[in-house]
Amino acid sequence: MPEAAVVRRYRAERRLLPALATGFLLLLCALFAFPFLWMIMATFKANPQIFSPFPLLPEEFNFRHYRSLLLGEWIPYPRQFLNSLWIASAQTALAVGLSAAAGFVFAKHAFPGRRLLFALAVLVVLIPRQVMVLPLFTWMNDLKLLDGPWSVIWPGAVSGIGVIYFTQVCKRLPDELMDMARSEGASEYRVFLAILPLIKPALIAYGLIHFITAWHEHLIPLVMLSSPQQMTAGVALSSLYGSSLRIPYGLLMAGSAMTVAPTALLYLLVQRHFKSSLAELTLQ
Amino acid sequence: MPRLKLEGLSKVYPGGVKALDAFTLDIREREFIAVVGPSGCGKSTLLRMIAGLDEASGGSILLDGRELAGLPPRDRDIAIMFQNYALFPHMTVAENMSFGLKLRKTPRPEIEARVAEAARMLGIGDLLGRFPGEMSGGQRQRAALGRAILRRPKVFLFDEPLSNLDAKMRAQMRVEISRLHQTLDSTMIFVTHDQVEAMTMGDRVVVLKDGIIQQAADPDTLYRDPANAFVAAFIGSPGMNLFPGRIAEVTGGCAFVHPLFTWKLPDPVRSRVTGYQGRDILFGIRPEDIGSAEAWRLEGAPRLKAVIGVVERLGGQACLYMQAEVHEGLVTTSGNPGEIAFAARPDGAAGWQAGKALELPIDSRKAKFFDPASGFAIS
Repeated sequence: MPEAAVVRRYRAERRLLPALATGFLLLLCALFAFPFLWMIMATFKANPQIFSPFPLLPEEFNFRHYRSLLLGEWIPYPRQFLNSLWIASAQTALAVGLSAAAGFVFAKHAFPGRRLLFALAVLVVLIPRQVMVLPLFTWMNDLKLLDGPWSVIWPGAVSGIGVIYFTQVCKRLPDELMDMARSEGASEYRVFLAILPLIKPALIAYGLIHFITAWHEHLIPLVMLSSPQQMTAGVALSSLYGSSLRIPYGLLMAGSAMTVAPTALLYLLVQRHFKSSLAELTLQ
Repeated sequence: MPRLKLEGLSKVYPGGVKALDAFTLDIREREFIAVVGPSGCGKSTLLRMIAGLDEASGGSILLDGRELAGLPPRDRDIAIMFQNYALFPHMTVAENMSFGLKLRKTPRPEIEARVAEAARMLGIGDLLGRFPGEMSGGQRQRAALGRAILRRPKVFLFDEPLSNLDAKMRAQMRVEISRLHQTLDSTMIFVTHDQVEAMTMGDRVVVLKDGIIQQAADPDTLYRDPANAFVAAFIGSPGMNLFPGRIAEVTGGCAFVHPLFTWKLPDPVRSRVTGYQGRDILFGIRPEDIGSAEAWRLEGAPRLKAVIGVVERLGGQACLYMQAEVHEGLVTTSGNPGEIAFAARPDGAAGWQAGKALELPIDSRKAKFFDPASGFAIS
C-alpha cells in the first residue's frame, strides 16, 4: 500500500534527520574544542613534547607550570590576574551603567542636539582604536593616571556600540510605564532605575560582551601600563614570548588556560539569560 | 470653589498641530467627568497635561486653587491610569500597587494596611503575590486601579482604561469604577472614545472634537438637546439622523422640505426658524423617533418611504438601516450613490427584512434643527 510506504519513509526521516544533525554538530564541536584541549594538555608537558602532535595526552599530569605561574617565578601572575579582573569588572560596570543611561536618554527624551550627539556616538564606533591610542595616552599622562588601572578603565568606560545598542533597546520600552512611574512620584533618575529590570537581559548580554572584550584588551594596557606589577594578565603572558631564548610554552599555556577560565565561567553562569529576551517587555 | 479649574488650556505641537484649543472647564469635587470624542480629538493630550506628562502651550490648571502648570507630575497629587495598565512585569501585584507609596517613603506598616484595604475593595486580595503576566486583563485593570487608589490622590485620570477588555469585562469594570467613584468620593476624569462608557459613567460628559469642546453637559441633556450637529450625530448608537433640506413657503404656512418628506411646521416651531425662510437647514431626528408608537399616533406626522437595507436585531427591538434614492422628485429604492440613508428603530421587532419597503412616520415633536454652516442647534 503506497500510504503505508509514505508513513514508513516519514518515520525513517524523523529518526534519521536528528541523528545526522547531532553528528554534524559533534564534528563542529570537536573542531572548536581541539585547540582548547591541546592548550590544556600542553600545560602538563615539557617543550619537546608540546610540539609533537601525538600523543595528545601528557605522560603524567604534572602541575609544575601552574605552580611556577602562581608562585610568580617568571612574572607576578597572581597580581596581574587580579589587575585584569579589577580593570575588566570596573570597566564593564561603568560601560553598562553609562551606556544604558545614555541610551535611555537618547531613546526617550527629546532635547536640542540629540541627533548630533547620537551621530557622534556612531562616529566613535567608526574610529579605530589604534587612532585614539596616542591622544588617550597624552590625556592619561596629563591626568597622572599612567601605569595605573584607571588609565585602562576610563578609555573603555564609554562605548559607542553600547550607546547605540541601549538606545535601540530603550526605544522598545513602553512609554506608559514611564509616565505611570512619573505620576506615581518618580524623578527622572528614579524612572531610569525603575525600568532597568525590564532591560535586564540586555544589560547582562552587553555586560558579558564588554567584560570579554575588556578582559582580552591588548593595545590599551600595553600602551598605558609599564611596570609588571600593574600589567594585565594577557599582556604579561605575551611578554613571555620574548623573555628568554627558551620560551616556556607549558607555562604560557597554563597562563592562557587560567586567563580564559574567567570568561568561560562567566559565560556559563549567565548564558541562560541570553535565552530570555526583550520579548518579555511586550508580554503585558 | 471647583476642585479642578481648567482655563483656556491649549496644546500646540511643534509643526503647528493644535491638539487642544482653549479648553475651559470647572470640575466640582466628587464629580465624574467623561471626556468623549473621536480618536485624535485631543482627549488624551488633555489628560497628559493635567497629569503633568505634557506641558501645556497655554492656559492654566488650578487644583484647589493651586496652579499646576510647571509642576512635575510627582508634585501634583494626581493619579493616572492607562489603557495598557502600565504594570511592571517583574513586580508582583502588591509591589506594583505600593510603587508610589514606596517612592514617597511611606512607612511599611501603613503601606501594607493600604494595600490590604485597596485589595479588599477591588476583590483582588488573593492575587497580591501574582505577577501581571499571570493575570487576565480585568485582573490587571484592578491591580492598576489599586495602585491609583492607594495613594489617595485628589484627582483620578483614566486614559481609555477599558479599551483592552472584552465586552463583558468592560461592562463589569464600568460598574466597578462607578462604584469606586461613589466609595472614594473623589474627582475623576475618564477619557474614552466609547460613548456608551461616557454616557453610562459620567456625571457630566464633555464631547471633544478637534481639540474644541462641543458640549459639556449631563448625559440626558447631551442626548436630548445636543448643542450642535456633531454632538447630535456622535452621541447615540446610531446617532441622530440629519436630513439636509430647506424651509419653504407653502399654502397656509411654512414647511421643511426634503426630497423624502415635507413637514408643515406648527406655529411654535415655525417661529424658531423664521430666519431660515427659503434657506438650507438641517433636520435632526433620533432613530427611535422614527416609527415609534407615538409617531404612529401623531396626527399629520411626516412619513418616510424607504427600503430596509440592513436589519440589526437587538433582541426585542431592531435597528433598521434604511435607504432611498431620489430621482428628480421621484423616490425610488435602489442602493446607488445619491441615495439617502438613515437609521430607524421602530417599535415592534416582527417582520423586518432586508429589501422590504416601508413607510414610517416621524415623531416630529422630537425634531431638532441645526444650522448647516455652523452646525449649531437652532432653538
